[in-house]
Amino acid sequence: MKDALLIFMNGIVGVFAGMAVLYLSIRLTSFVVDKLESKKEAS
Amino acid sequence: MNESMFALVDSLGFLSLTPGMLVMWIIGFTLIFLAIAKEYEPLLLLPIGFGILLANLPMTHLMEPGEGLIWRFYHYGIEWEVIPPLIFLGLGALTDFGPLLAQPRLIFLGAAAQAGVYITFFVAWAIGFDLQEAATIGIIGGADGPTTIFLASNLAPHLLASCAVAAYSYMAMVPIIQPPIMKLLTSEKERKIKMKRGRKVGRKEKMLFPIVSAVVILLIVPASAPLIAMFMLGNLFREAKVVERLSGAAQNELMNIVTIFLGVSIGATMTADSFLKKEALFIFFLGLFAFMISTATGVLLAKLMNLFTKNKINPLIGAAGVSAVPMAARVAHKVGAEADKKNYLLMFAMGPNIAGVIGTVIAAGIFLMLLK
Repeated sequence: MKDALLIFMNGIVGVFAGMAVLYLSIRLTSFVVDKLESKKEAS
Repeated sequence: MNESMFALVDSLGFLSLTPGMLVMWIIGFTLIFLAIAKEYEPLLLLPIGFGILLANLPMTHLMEPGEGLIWRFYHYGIEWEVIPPLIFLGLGALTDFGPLLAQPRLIFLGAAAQAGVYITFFVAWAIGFDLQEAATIGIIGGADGPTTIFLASNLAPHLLASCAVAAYSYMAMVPIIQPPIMKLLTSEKERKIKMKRGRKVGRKEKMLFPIVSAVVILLIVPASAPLIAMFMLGNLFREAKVVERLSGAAQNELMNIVTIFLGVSIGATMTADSFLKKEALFIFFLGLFAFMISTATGVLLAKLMNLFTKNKINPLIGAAGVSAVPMAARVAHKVGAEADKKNYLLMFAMGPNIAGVIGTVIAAGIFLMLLK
């Protein structure tokens, strides 16, 4: 029971945590790309 | 003379036919019929159906370990974990991450749909399957065939055939299974929500995504490496625009070739002895349950997100968080169009749909990390 419950909890939390980190990395990538683009346009 | 006659008669397949084999023929013919007449996932159900037929013809030795032709496809393709990652290479080359990058918040809908995987895991365990078997059954809820096969071959190879057929059958039945759940959980007003277009995504960002996400995901869930690595490599082929030949080969020739081997091998594992058990019935029932829960949790998270956001999400696209690309996105669009003909949800639904693929692979990776 304990093992199954632990896997259940770790699984759900793990998927959301993984996707949250991926979300942040998408945001960060777009921020960096936007900055680089605007710098390029300005110069 | 008489001896050779007897030997000839003994080697006739007819005499070794069993009632179980005949039942499997019916299953095989049904899948072939569904593939040809109804066009339900024909690329897979057709070779799977034929593989079932072959595996249940006595004396052919096609699945004889060490010598059978189809056994070799199965052994080197699936047991060696070659085919599912190659399919992911092709899927990556076919996938446009644009809709997801335009509205990154939709990624959470792909995560929500994985709740069905874990809830089903728990239910399967509670009714008597061991942890590895329960995980393999739960992953059917992710509606991703290659991931189901990958996890099954690692954790519960004896359930591989039933789980793979259940996953592909339910993927084919997305237009039948999902709409009632979507309608039940949403109001007419919610189904009419028109979403605002996301930002424009440039080439550089699309090109960086497979590299960044491969690094990020593999640092978090290294066990998902075979699938994620190939998925992102295929996508990099696509977005780099300098290796059109490789991208084309991954999308077409390679994908088609491995699909043939995958389908026939999976079908050929479905012998009467291994398939006609009450466990198979449970697997089909639990697979359907997983699929329904995944659909519901995707829709419910979209509704929850709407409580906190100004820019509303049409909750129907939450159902596309189960992978089944692009069928689940098309279904979300179709149900939305029934409420408002001018509401074009397809591009928005592709976001959670693609996120669902990544979510299912992460879920499978977590199972592997905890159970292998």
